[in-house]
Amino acid sequence: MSPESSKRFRVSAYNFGFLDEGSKREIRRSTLKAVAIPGYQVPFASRELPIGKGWGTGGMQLSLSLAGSRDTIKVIDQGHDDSVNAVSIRHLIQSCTQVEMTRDSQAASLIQSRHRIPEIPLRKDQILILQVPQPDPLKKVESHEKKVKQLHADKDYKGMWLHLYEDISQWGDISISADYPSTAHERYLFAPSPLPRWDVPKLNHSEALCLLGAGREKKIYAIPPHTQVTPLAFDDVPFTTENFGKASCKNCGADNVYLDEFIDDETGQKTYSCSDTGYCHQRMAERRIQ
Amino acid sequence: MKGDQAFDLVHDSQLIYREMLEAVSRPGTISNIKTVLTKLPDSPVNPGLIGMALTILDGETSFAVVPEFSKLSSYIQQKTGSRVETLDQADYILMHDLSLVPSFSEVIETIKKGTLIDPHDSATLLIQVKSFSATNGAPYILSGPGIASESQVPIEGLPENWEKTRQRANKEFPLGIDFFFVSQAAEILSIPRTTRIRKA
Repeated sequence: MSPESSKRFRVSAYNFGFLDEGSKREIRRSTLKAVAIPGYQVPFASRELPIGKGWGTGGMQLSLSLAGSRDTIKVIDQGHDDSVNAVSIRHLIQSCTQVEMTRDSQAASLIQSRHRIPEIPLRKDQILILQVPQPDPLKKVESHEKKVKQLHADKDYKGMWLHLYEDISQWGDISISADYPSTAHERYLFAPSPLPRWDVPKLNHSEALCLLGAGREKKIYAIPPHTQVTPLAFDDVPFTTENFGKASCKNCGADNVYLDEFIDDETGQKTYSCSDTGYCHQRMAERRIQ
Repeated sequence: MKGDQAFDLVHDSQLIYREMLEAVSRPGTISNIKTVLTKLPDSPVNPGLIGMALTILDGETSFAVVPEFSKLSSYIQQKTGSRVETLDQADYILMHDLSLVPSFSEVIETIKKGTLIDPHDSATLLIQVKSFSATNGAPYILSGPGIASESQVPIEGLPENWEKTRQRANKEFPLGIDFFFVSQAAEILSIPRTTRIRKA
């Protein structure tokens, strides 16, 4: 045994799903209330995990409270299956639940994601779990938690409307590119986690349940399936998603998907590839078969 | 799975939680937690109701049993550590036999609905009903979040005009109460505060 391995995280010392049952119950109770009040941020205790708060602990706590032996889980970081954050979270979930993991969004029953929703529309038998850094859009305009809760209680969102208006008057357009403030069920203003604008309409009347967890800010909220999600917009400045023009993925050729832009340092030439790598790999594999 | 297995607090709770989550996400959908039926032989009431209580109650929560049934209250206290609370303060309201409840509307009026600051601090009802059978149940039409357009569910064993009583309690969204019904066959169905109900 190498000296490092004796210091390694011993998973057998922990409960199924790492969290103790009391912690899971508390997360579960908060989640059930969150679904009953779409978009409202239910406070929860937010337990310590072997990763730092701010690295997806809200999403992880949701996943660990949900996961059971029948699940198959996919973990996404900015669309990628294989970036450090996704790999670490996948490894932790897998080692403390022995649940099957996948890169195929269609094979997953639970999808924990940071900042993207898969390109292939989700089904009703899937649950999307989003990691959230800042759950409250009103924190942009009011920093005190107590006042923010009062604003939500009064459905007083004029501070956010003014923020958007100032954006337009200063920049000629709403400059918020990700985490676009939206309302759920025509009531609560919520932060759709730093999803690109591209993904926000996918939450509107989605087939799948979407749970959002902010570990550092200790909040859980939810967008149930078939729930109206409306991005804030003015009559004369409508909500728009990113426009990639005629660009398509250099690997699989997909257009009409969310693309990552790459600029060649030497030639300055722009190329694009799918942000959703699971989707891209699947398309490439299909092409090879044909 | 063997029928004589004991209730597993880790894995059975997980299964029940997922069915409850499915139920509250899609009001009117009937899910089932039948695996508990044989696992709680000492249960003083239907094991379905107990299964849900074991899944979500613990020392951090309070509950009330309506109508009073000391055997059930002490069972829940012993198994979960949850404490008995008055009807107007309890987080969870367990109703094991609606036919013995003198005034359903009085119960609904009394229990907590949350506040505008903390709408989640409201009661959740776990209610035993007879069945969700289309032949015996009264049909209700549901709409709202979680439902594509409308869904129809029959519920057998609810008091007359219960949906009007509920509507009064939920008139000021986000304040309100959330229901989980469990049938004798351990099927569950949820109606959260956002659901609109009318009689078919």
